[in-house]
Amino acid sequence: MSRLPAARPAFALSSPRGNWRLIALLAAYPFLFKLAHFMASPWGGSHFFSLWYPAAGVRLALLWHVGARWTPLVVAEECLIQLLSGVIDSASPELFNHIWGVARAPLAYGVMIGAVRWVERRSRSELALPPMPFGLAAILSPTLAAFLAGLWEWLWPSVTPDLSTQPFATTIAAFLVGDLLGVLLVAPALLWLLGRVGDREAVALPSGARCAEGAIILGLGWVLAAALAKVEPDISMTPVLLCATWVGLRCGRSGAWVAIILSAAIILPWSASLLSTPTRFALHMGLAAVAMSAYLAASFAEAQVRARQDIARRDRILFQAERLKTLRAMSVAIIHEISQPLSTLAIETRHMAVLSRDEAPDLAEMRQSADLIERKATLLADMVRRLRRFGGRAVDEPSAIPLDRLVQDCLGIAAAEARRHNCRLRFDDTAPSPLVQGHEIELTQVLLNLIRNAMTAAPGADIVIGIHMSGNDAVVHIANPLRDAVPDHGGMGVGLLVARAIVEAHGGRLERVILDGGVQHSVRLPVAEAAHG
Amino acid sequence: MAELPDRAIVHVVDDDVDLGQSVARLLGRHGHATRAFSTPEAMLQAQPQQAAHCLVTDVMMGDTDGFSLAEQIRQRDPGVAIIFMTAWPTTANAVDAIRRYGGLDYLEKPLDEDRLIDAVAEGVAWSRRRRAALARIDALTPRERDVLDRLAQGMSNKMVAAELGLSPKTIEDHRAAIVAKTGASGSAGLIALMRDMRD
Repeated sequence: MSRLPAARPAFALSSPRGNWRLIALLAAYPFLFKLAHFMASPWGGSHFFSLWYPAAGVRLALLWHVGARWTPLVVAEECLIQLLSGVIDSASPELFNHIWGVARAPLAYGVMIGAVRWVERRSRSELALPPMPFGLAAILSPTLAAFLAGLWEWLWPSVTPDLSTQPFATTIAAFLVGDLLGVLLVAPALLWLLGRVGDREAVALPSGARCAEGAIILGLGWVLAAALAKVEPDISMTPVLLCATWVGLRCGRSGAWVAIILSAAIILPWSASLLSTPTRFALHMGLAAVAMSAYLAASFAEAQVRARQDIARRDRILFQAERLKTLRAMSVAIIHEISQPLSTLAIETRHMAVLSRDEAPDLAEMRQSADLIERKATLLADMVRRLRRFGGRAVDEPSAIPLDRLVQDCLGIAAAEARRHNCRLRFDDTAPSPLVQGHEIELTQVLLNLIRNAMTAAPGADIVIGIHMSGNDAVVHIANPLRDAVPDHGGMGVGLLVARAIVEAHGGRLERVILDGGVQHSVRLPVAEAAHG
Repeated sequence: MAELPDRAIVHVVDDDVDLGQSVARLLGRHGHATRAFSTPEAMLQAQPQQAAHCLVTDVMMGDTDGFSLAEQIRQRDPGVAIIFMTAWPTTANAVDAIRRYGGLDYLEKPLDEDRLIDAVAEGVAWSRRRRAALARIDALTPRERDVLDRLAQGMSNKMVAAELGLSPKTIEDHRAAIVAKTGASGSAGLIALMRDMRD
């Protein structure tokens, strides 16, 4: 998926580098605008400028990038270049009318972009999720410009269209189609380029399979279109419309844009050679519909993906919060676990200090102390490492984890609390150790949560933990005897919900079975491929 | 007992074997005959052969915690001073340790070494006094003990006689027997003897 600089606020260009870039863009605009005009001329008509109008794309890209507040300057630039290049005759008595005719399109674009940005900042609806706002602006700006032009010409006719030969609506529709095509073909590419130049995040392209799927679908659409064109060219774009929309949904905006460009590359040369204006118009109308539909579908699909990523990110934050809560609840146990070896360390180091002051130190005694100190220091370091990882901010990448090591780690962290609850944690370490694919910290969190629940539910009891295989799944089971009165430890059960969410995010299941006189929780996880053999 | 009379016996109980041994060695270096146990049960078994003057025990341990060990050892041998140590210091436990279980001190881990050594020295001294007092009182009849109890509270012979429903002359006889058996002389000696019994 390409990422257009849609999320960039319009007023972010305040650094000195940004200022220079802004000036350069605004200075280059009239030339690009004129160049785009020149590119469009082969598709012109008697009463409309062109059936595709790339200058509109340049305009939209610029206004979207620099922000709607630069609209007056863009309007002035367009008027000036049209005057200087002689498109508007400065001696004409209708000068102001002509200037207004040129000015209202960029004005409409600026107003619409400003409005979309405004909504984007305030709304929490799905339509405000990037890249939807850009998609909306790309379609609504030309629409507003065409509507404004139509309304104006209807109230104060000035262009003098000969309504007997050229229906007025057609002129306006041609204007709309030309602008739409220009915007959708040119603006995304320009913004993508601007984004690349400005060090935006890397573009994620759709996978190879998706690309192949899109190519097949689009190819199929064009085969159908070609067959239809032989019979009735005016409606030949319909299958392409469906297929390009499919491509947009499946391949995102980069896919949609390629589909639109390919379609335009077929239609535009063909239609330039056509003599029948209605057919040419119908084809361009069809192409505009293809472009709009594909681009909107792609924007929506990408917005959905982004929303899903957002939810996943929030889930991870929730997991993290829950983990810290667990850690806090365990802090007393952890202090115990630390103060125990610390006592030994303190006594032994002091002893060594006393020994070292002797004339002839007892080396055997010293060695004994040193060994003990080393052992305790290693123990403490291991524990601190486990705890730091567990409480850390890092969201680790999924990796293949040996399940028995994971369980051992959890038992290490839970040992202190087990002592506190007077529980024994019994783990059958001859169990199989399959590899599972997942986030190690999150899976630790799940197991720790279940072990701690078991301990609070059955203080003083044996908690039996084991691993067994069940088909292609590896299962960690944690069993504790049922007590008549389960002490209320003030939890809301959020921990268990989070545990379930984590297990399910790993493609597994969390199960609870009542055994004879006990209860067993099972974490069922799919075995990673590498574990076979 | 094989130990020299000036070397007091101190037992250390902690389920962390390393820490238990460390504490035992530390106290050993301060002139005590020490032994570390990893379970209360092992310590209870060893007590009849080698009666400890002072017991230093962890509070949180497996099946038997430090408090129930204290109760059991008190029943078997009231002359043992008990010092608790814990990594889970709570006010409630601290109060219980001293008032209910007769602990001499309640030490937090990581241990304050000097305080531990002082507490053990105090405990050994207390235990010796107590053992001596117990040995002296051992020979008394129950009636003589009743009399001693009241005399130690500062009552006169007459008052004791009135309370026990005996004649002052009988009390006089009991008192002479007590002095003869315990070697305590005068009211002050009797009061000191009872104090060693009670504290």
